Amino acid sequence: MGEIEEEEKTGKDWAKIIVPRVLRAIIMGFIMGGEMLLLLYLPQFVPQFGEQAMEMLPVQTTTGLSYFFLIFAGIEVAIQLLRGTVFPYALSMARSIISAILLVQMTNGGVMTFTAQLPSGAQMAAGASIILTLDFQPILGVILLLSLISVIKNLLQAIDYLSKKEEAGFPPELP
Amino acid sequence: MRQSIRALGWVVTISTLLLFAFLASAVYSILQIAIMNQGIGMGDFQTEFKDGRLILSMPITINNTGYYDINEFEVTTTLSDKDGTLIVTNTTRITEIKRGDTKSEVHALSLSFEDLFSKAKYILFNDTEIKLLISVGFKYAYALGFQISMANISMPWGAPLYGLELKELNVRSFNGTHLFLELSLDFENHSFLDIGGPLHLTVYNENGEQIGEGMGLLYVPSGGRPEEPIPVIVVLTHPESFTGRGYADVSFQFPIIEQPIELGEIEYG
Repeated sequence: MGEIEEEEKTGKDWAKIIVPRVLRAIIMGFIMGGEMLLLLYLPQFVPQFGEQAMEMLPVQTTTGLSYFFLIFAGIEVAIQLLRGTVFPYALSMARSIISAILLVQMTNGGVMTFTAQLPSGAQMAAGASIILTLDFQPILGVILLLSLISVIKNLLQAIDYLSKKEEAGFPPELP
Repeated sequence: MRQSIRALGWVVTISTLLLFAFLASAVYSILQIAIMNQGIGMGDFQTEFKDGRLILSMPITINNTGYYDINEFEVTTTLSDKDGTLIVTNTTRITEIKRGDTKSEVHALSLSFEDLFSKAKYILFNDTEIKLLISVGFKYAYALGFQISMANISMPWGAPLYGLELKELNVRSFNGTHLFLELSLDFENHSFLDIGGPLHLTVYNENGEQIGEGMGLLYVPSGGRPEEPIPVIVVLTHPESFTGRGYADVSFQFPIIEQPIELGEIEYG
């Protein structure tokens, strides 16, 4: 009984466990979408740099993109905080499914249209508009397929984790 | 189980890397073709007037300096009136341009004035705008589709019979078989072409009985107006019905169009 019972953890022990996790979660959250969120919201804080950054982005509206990166970064933070449990696998699956749905919705099913108005100074083309349509449905199809494989992989990992836990035996409930 | 999970992990990682490498190279390559090497070139529209048709032609040259093939290259031009009614459209297709190849084609848009006037008769009498739509589409690397359209390009249209008004039809003389009339009409030729052709008159008496048909010649240069009344000689088929009063239906035959254009009705006498 004494072998499987864990010693009561002190505040220092908890700090040793929690602090690295939190740091790891912050770093991974930043890598997995946080930096893009920063770039998207930078125009609000530094207008001069913001304009240049927005010109580099392929879309005019940041709303859809910010949701996408927010979900990505948020789930990554949760995954890092819950390491060692079955939840990261479930969260990874959820992330794959949500990001696939968002990607399809944001890219209009792989057909994106951008419109630009020509300057009124142009002689014949005054008031004319340039419409650029980008069709990348085959690429989106491959991305969705990879998301599906990722979901299957995470499902298998979750099953594997649970079966191992079953074999090793769960720790008894605390008195 | 562990092996399958590991294999799936590798599949996802390697496939993602390959996909993004392909995407990056394709985007870089298309930018290189379109912007750096000016590989997709379209010349200015050349205008030619032939057999009653206005032919707009545009040379297209594609020099594929990229890493992948270009296929399903299409150029479409469409002319429509200000309400969006289609006047004419044409598409030129180049099936495939392999990497390293150069292909040239001439895209032509043939506009028949007969079609134009039959579809939109009001443009004979009213200045308006003709809308031009140019659309270029192609597939790159068999996976990325691009379509660039320039919509709402307006071309001013000058009406050849702008503000037409049949003012007066005077009887000059009558010799028993022929009737000599003078038709005064007013309009401004806003077209880029001179107008010249026969004016047809079908003459009726005041009871509505047809008494004969006649012809006069109209010529108005581009930007001009008819300055003098047009003499019309009418061959009387029923001279006994001529009463000195009545009306005439006036039509004009554009040399470039088979069907005469009805200009209206005017009274004489």
